[in-house]
Amino acid sequence: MQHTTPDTEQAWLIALAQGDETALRHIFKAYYRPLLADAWRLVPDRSVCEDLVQEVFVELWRKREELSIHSSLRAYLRRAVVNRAINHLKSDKRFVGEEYLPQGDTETPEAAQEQALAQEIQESRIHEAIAQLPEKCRVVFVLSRFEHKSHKEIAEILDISTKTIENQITKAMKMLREFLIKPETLSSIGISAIVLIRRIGDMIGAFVW
Amino acid sequence: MNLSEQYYLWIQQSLDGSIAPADQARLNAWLAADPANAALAAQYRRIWDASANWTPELPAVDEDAAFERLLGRIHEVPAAKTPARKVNLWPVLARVAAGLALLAIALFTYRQFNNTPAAALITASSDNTLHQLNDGTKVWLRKDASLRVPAAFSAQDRRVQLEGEAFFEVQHDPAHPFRIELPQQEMVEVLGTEFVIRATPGADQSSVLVYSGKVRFTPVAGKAFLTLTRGERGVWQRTSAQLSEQAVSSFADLRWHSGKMEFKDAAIREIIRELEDTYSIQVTLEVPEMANCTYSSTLPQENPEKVLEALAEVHGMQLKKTGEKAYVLSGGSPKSCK
Repeated sequence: MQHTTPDTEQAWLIALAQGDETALRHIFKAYYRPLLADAWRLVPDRSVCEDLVQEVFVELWRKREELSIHSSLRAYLRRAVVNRAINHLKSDKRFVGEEYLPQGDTETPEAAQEQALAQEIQESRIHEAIAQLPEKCRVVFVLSRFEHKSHKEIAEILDISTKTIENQITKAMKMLREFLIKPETLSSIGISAIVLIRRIGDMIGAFVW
Repeated sequence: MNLSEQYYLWIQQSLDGSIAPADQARLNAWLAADPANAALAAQYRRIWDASANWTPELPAVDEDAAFERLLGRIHEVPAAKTPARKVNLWPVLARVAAGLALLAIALFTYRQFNNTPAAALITASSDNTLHQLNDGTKVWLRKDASLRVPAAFSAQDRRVQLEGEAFFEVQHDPAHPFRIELPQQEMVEVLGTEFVIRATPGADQSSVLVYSGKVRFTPVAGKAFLTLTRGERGVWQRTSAQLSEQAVSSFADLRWHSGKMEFKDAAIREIIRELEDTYSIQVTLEVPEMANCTYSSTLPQENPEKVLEALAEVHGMQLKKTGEKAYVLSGGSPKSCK
């Protein structure tokens, strides 16, 4: 991503308001990929993300004369992409309604504590681990961690109870931790079990939703 | 939630900064009570911190192609990169010009007979009667619909009353929201946008379908509302008092107004069914799996053949006309679409 300063952003916006397509190209070049990444965190589907980001740029162009952006353009576009991604998720029937939580968690507090003392966490695999989370866990985690939304805000955005959001987010953290525990201490059976639970969860989910 | 779950939540809340001071104190006590507790919390902290700069690995994207597509969208003609889809603009422009001319004549006539605007009740005796309001908003009324417009809008908002079905193109004016009151006190609130309302008195439901922009639909004041954007329809069931939102894949509801068809992520199966139902044609799909592929129109199309042509081109199929009202779509690769 090329380096941008508020000044250049302002200059782009002024030129954009006058219908300058070169300014649009600059903005596109600077933010297309970061915005794809923002969308991808919530909806890991290439064509959907590309469409969402396209829509945001089309909208930016349509509204170019009346835009008043108080924060940065990057932040403005990111909010627009995230809102669209959330709307996309909500339009997916599977995503609406009460939550299905995979029942993979048999960890007792005592066992967890023993593990905590004995085991190293592999932070380097964190990206892989987040990508592995079940959809709703991931979405809730992403909104909390990356979009800095409170549990209450997430509950309102997704039309789900705050309780469920709390469950989902603690669930997400537990699953991340299980995934990141070093393989020599967590048997490979454990890992495949997590994956399998997720798959079964998805299958059951399809029937439940 | 049992006790241990409670601690997991507090650990989480202390990470995202949402923990209440009293809970933080309880959590601190718990952490101090056993080194294992503290170790667990430390692991969570490390996971939380490590996740901060997660930039997902994206598949290879063709940024230039995406930008070309964007240019195509904002010019509202197919992207120049796909010459196969190039259309002859002249007929389109001619039609637009003709449309503008008609509009000008209609406006002229309308103004001639409406020199002194008074609180007016406008009733449509035929489909698609256009009325332009003082603020520039355009309303196309469907047959039997009526619209009540004040002599002058108030300083706060622009308020009209509608019975029946109408398509609105609201003049953008954020300082003066456009509000439409429906027969049973349902309310639609707009900043500047295009949408269709169906609100027949005595019918079981009222609905709003948004073509562009953003609309707030409030069936019962102060109770529930929906914020709708392009392709979203809000439906209010009057008897059961239920409000629901649907995503539409076709703007078929607008055909009485635009005379055109437009689709958004619609399955080919749905499109064919709709064309068959509306135009009494028959369409045969030689590769049945193609039925699940989706299609979004780049331009509104005015006849079924044009829709099929565009659809065929996008999905690499061939269109053959085998009879007066019979078409065959052949070829296409179902693997290329999900």
